[in-house]
Amino acid sequence: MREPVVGLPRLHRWLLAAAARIVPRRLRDGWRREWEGEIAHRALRIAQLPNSGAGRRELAGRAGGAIIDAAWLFQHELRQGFLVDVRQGLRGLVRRPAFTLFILLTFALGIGANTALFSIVNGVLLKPLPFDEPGRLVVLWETSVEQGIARTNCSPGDFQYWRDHNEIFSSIAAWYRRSLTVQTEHDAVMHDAAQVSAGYFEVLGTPPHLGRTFTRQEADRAVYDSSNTLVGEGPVAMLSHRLWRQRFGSDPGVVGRTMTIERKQYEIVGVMPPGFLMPAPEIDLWVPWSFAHDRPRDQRYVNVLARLRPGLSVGEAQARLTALAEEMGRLYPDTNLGWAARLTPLHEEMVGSARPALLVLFAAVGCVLLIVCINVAGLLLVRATGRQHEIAVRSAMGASRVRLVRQFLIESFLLSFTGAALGLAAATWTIGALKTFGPTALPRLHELTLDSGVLLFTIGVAALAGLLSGLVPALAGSRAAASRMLASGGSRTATASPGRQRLRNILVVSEIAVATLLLAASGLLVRSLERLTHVDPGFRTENVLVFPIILDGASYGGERSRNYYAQLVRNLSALPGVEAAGGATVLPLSPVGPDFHLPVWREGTAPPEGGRQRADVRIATTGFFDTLGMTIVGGRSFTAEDHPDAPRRVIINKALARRHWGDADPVGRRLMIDYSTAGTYAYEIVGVVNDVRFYGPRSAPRPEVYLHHAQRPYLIVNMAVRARSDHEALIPAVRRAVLDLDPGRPVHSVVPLSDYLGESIERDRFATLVLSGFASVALALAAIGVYGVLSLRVSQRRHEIGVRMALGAGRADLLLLFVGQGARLVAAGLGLGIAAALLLTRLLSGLLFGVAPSDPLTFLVAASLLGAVGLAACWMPARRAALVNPLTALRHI
Amino acid sequence: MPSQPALSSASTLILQAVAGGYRYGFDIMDLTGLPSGTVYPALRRLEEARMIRSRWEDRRSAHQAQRPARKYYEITTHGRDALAGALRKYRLIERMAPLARLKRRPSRA
Repeated sequence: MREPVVGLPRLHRWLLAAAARIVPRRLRDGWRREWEGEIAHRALRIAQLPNSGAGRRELAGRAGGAIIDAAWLFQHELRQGFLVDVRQGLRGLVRRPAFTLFILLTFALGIGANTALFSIVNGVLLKPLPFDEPGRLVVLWETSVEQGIARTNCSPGDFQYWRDHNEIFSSIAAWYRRSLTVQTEHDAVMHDAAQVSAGYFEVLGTPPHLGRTFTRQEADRAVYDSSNTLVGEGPVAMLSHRLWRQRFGSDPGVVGRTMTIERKQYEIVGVMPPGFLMPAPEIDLWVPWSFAHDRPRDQRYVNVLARLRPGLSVGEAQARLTALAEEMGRLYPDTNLGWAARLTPLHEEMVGSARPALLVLFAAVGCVLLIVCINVAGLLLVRATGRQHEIAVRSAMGASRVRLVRQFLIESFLLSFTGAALGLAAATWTIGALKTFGPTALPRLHELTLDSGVLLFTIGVAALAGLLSGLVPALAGSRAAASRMLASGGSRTATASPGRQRLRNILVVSEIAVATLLLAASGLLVRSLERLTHVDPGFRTENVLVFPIILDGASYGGERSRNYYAQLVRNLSALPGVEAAGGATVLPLSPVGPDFHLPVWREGTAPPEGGRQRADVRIATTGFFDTLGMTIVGGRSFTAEDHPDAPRRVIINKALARRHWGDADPVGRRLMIDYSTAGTYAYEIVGVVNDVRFYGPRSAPRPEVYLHHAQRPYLIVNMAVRARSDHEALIPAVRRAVLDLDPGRPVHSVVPLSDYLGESIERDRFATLVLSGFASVALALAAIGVYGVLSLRVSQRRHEIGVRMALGAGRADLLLLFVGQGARLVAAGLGLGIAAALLLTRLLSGLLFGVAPSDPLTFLVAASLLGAVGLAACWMPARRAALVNPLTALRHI
Repeated sequence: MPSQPALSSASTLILQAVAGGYRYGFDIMDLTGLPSGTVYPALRRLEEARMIRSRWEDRRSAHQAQRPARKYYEITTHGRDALAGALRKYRLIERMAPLARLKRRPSRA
């Protein structure tokens, strides 16, 4: 202990002692003496003055500056040491270019993949929707437990009731998706459009790019007849930014001009901003919709969007909505008894379905990063072994443990951050490619950007990766037993301590375990995808082209649509190369077209209670079943016999036949269909058709009824054409045939039916592809890990190998010895990985189809694949051991 | 070889004070009015750049005054060169703190 300094006030002494703690040790003593000297000198002088108060205060202030001085020295020392270490680290890395490059690439891969996936998760799941206060936006729908309808759109009447008796929403609007044909002198083009109630844009809070949104008067004028044809006067429309650019060359004077839509003159009142995606990104036109004359309660087809009152939670809003639904059930028992209304946040509605797959992929990419870090940690650990001598010298020369650990960490951070920079570049490229080629089934994909949040995430991941991969080698490497190493004459080939050997083994085992987990998970998805693609949908998609046709009621009302479609089917069937043509109100997986779910029952029995037994009722033209490759399993298909004046006839599917007639033959029996306010009719069953998975391969077949278009004309029909061979080549002829029939009625898009089916499993395909990619990377890295550890062991034990050979061990013995050692690690990792997979793959169950999360076959294949690759990775170094020349090995001491 | 960092105005002021015979940290503060949190780090930086060097005052005089020894700083040749260069740069400072007058003052140490 130093002698107490004379003349130094106690408070100052205490302050200096405290501040001295952060002064670098080698400077500490001198620093303290310097300050003590100054303060003591000044304190003595002050004591001699008659009025010393002011002087003392000033002295106290100056002594406080000692803290700043100490802090400055502290950071200065840190910075100096840091720069030295960085320089040294860089030099070390540059000296081993192959080693450095390999680590950089694995980091780039791991961090780049994480960045890319995070930017998807961020853009799709985390980022709020691009609307004003998007958290308050909700979507409404109706449900009836009694009738087994989990979810359906809302009826216009119910929408208006909510709007008029509303203490829940600050605004509420309804919309309906449709197609509208824009006619010019040269052409007629069909566009995706939305028919929206007054206040639709106000709910979303997005101002128009140009002009204005619809006024209440305009909305009230926009009255439609029962075929959804505009009958109101003074029609107006709003354009999408895209349509404005394409059709009007971004002319700012477009507002107030007119365009011909559905053969009527519409005034353009506004243009929406780019990227406005409600109700869908492909919408090009918005037209107003009055509900004044349109308030049925039994037809549930409108979409309802609302903005919650400020401060109202979704839970509270739901409670009030439920109360409102009960009130409506009492007021309108015919249509609303047993019906409830539900609301879902808009964000959840848009991205909820993508969440499970994205989260699984995000977890998987986290596993890849973990493997990358383990792998790099293993490599750095190997390098630390080679540097034991250097470390021992440095620590003998006074480098503290902290300094040594820092040196290691600086190296791993240099690697991880450089790798992250490379990874970020790769991720940017990937995101760009994804926006172009990515799955359209992924919502909000076009919104993806590498924003500051993603950048921050990348920096965080890089720091984490640097820490994870650097800490183990840093702690192990800095623990070098200085005395022992120096005493041993600094043999660079000294066998690593058993502790470090164990550490490397643990790293390799965990690497294999994580790789096994990923491999099992991707195996499950591959199997599930295979099941999905091989499931029989009940119809054949090969060579089938589909396109919707939507006629307007003014030109084709009443019976006129019958002739149009009969003629269209005839014309299309007559085209060369066409095998069959036909259509129905909706096709499997088709995005547009009405689907009716109506109560049905056997004639002669009582109507079902509360309409529980419903069927999907569709209207089909002649040739429909042949075109879709469906099979008539009983009775006959629709023919010319089923003309308008013939008795009403239907074809039902097997599911419906089984439900109502069991094993008995329903052909010739009669089926009742309840159209609610439009009446109840009896139909003669003329045929039974096979079941189809109408809503995609994951859906179960549902009871269906097909009416004939000739007997029940309808304006909207989704047409299908089956080509004999090359369906793509047929597209121009199909377009011409449609246009020839009515030049003002073009086809919007003619696409292969397989596209619809493909889209339905596109998300599965995407998830499977990405996860398989991750699993392959994990497998490769795990193999490299095993290889690295075993190679090191072989080279460290060259001398021992030589001795063993000299003592008579054969090459086979040595091969077995080392392969056996590697195999133990692989087996341990496999065991752990399978155990983890058994625990974790159940999280995948929502994504799987027809495969159990613990599918034994998948696990077996994953384990064998990993085992085989792992053993191959053992084989190479083991073979090197077996080929050691005993003489060289013995001399090599 | 010490690098030659650009001198800040405060460092120039302090270097000039040292050159003018104000050798102790607290005296430099008295002269320049700069706080200790500025003066000391600046001294450290100047010393590291070898523009000044530090010495301990004679032990006997400190002992006589019954206080610990103080550390003082003096300008090096390198420091004089740097100061001359900086003063050319900071003509304003040169005008505000006339060197001639400072030199005539007796040291207070």
